[in-house]
Amino acid sequence: MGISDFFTSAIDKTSATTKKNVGSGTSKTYFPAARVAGSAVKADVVETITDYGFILFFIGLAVWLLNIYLNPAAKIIMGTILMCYSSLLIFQRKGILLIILFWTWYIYFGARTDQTFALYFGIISLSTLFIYYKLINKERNVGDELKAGAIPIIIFFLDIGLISLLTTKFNLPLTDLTQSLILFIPWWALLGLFTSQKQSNLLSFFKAVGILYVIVILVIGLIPSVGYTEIKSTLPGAEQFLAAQEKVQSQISGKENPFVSNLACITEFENFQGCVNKRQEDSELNNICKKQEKKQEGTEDFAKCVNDQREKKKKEAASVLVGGTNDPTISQPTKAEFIETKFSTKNAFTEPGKPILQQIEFKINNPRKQIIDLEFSCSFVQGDKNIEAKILGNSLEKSVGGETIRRTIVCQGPNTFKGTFNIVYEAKIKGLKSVSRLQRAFIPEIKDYSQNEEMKKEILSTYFNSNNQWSQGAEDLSRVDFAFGNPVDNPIVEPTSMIIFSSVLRNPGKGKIIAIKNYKFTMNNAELDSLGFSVKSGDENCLSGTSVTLPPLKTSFIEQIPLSTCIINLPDNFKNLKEYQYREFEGAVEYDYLVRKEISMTVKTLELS
Amino acid sequence: MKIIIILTAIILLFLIGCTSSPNITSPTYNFKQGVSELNFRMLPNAPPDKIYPESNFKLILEADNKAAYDINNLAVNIVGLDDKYFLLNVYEQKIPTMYGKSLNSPIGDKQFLEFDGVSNKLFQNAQYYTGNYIVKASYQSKIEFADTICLNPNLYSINDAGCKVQDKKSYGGQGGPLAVDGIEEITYPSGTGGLVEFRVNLANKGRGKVNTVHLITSNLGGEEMECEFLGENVITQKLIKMTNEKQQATLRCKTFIKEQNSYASSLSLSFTYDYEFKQQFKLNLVK
Repeated sequence: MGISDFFTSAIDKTSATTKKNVGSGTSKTYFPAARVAGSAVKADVVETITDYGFILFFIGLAVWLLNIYLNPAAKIIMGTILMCYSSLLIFQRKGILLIILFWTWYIYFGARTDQTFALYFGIISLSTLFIYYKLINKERNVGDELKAGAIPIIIFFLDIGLISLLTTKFNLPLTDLTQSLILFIPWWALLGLFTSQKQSNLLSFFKAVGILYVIVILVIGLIPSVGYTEIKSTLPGAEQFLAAQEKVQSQISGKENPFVSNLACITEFENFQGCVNKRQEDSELNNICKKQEKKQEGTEDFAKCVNDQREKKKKEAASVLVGGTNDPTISQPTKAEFIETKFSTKNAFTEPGKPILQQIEFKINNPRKQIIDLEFSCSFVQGDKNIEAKILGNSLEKSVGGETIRRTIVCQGPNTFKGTFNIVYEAKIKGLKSVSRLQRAFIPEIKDYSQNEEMKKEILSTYFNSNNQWSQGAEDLSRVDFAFGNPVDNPIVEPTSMIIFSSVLRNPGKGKIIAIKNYKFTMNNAELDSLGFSVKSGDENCLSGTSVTLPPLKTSFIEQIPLSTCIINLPDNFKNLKEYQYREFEGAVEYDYLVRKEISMTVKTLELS
Repeated sequence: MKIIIILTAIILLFLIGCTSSPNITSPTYNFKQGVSELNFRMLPNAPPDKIYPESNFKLILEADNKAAYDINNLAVNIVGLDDKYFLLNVYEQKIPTMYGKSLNSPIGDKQFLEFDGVSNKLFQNAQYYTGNYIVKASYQSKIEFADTICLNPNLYSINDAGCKVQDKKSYGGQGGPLAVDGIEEITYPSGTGGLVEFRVNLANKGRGKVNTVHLITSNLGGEEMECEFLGENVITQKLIKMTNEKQQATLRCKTFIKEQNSYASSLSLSFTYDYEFKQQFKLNLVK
């Protein structure tokens, strides 16, 4: 029943009542139309709010809106509650057994897939299902039960981050559509809305709004695409879903809801899309400066921050020409992390006046035995208070080497801290090197078009049939990606084409690049400049450079730092070839990296007698 | 009686002795049939399946000529090896002549080309590196075509007891990569004889690429015929360039026959051609 029908029926009821009273001979009593309409609305509202689907819609919407305030455990609990609610009340207990079995396996057993467990659990599950559906509840249709069980399970996955996981782990492209699905679709709310049973005008209205919302989000996709992800394969547990969701949300959150942007720009007929894009960009930049850079809105600092972020975005956009992949022949990359040990207690007691001590292990896997400097620091954070603490022993070590580097870091905090707080450990690793390689084929000038095409085809099928038109490097803390050609990912270089050269330092790790000392590009250990390659136009320091300035932003290029982009000239020996040549180039960047870990801790003071 | 037996025995002896022995002909085999060409392969362990960094290795390439014709000016090039990982002493070697299959050499000719190489280090801490490369060979060779065909200038004759003209004939090759794979015979009766036109189709049946084809001889019944290549990429009447897209050519030959009745005659053609082919190999550098 539509809105117009609602009012029509209310008016009809009013007319009928008035006519009845006029014709009956009783005194002419006038019943105001509003009172009747009010009763109809009241009945409609009551009808709506008692519908299980609507209740699910309401709760699902509330959970979705408050999502950023929930920790992973709370999200899983809410997801479980809503899953059970759906099964019990929306699907009338259909599929509940399937949901219980799924939850037991996925949450309680952590999605175990080892053979022994799979065998036992599989047998128990199948037996349970058999007994239930064949002996206890024979009248139930197994197919319907499975369908009814599958829907809440799928919504559960979508809610906790299935799409995020597909982008981070399985290389699902992070397109406008997927980003919209991750951020802006309240899955449980939609399930509730579209499975509501009762008929009411209010419900119809909400359904109409729901459909319109989904259309706006999905069809008028507004968020620009993001670059490459790498392929990994693993069976994800709930934590991984949520971690993936957090990672992706941190990349794309802070932007205004596209529905709101669309509404705000509805009067901009001439430049609707431009208006929406600007609102999206502004909201994203404002959010970064507010939440991450911790600038006060309305201040000069805030405006400068927004400008710096905008410049950074432009620079990043210019550098996304370049991609890169992990080198499949290098199985041991350089990794660094803080590891909590059994001695890293989260709950501690301390004597009054005595300082708090907390320890953690720091480990670097250094297969290439790089010589690095290490600098450790720690701080105690409680609410707005951030107090620098002391590292016991040597916090600075120079020229450290070895294939595996392990250090125990002891952080001494102030004796005034108690209660729950965070200890933030930081390690600056200086002098790291990222080296990547890039293959290219240089062909002679061939006037015969078909011969030229045949040669290119042969080169592509012989040398470039495994995604190696991009540079390949170890999956280290950072990785230099570079390429040249026209377009940059074209691995065949013709002597007469304009050659674009571009490079970035990519940060696939969880830390932060804090300095870039130098970079250079070589072939057979000789710098490209010395081999006759030269910069035709663009960045003078395109082929080698020192000290890339990083803007003083906390966000500091979470994903990548552009190094250089230019047009280059080929040396003569690559222009006058008789036969094609296949060559490998190397790019090396020396940089400093910051690894950080936050640990929550609770300290209670001992009451001494 | 004894004399009769002795005489009979002597006569028998003469009869048996003078009976001609069965016709033992010398063995013959026509190598000039089918499609055969030069083949390459790397000898086992040359190179080895795994090459270690900073070590020496050998590439030994076996060139095996299975065609029925000699190969001249064979140039073998190794292309596409990155000297960052593998360095060879030479990248090109030449062989002036390789013999084709014949009675004197029924297995053709085999030659071995050695390339000495040295490997460098792997990239960073990579576990392995695979270097694909291509062996390119170019050479000149020839093919000879011969067949007996029926000629009949008198198309309207009903009572001709001679041979039957075949308008179209197909062939499976003449022992090389380039082959005459079909001939069309067209006869134009004319007065006391007739004009015969042969359209000879040449096609590349091998794995490589034919560049140019040169007509050397064209005879019908021992007399030279006038021939010319047709179509695009004709350089001269007797020289054509085959393109990547079209590895075939049509040769038209004409001659006037004076006889009035049908008869069989031998048609022979010979060509020389430039040929090129490539084969891919790989080297594995492991830690």
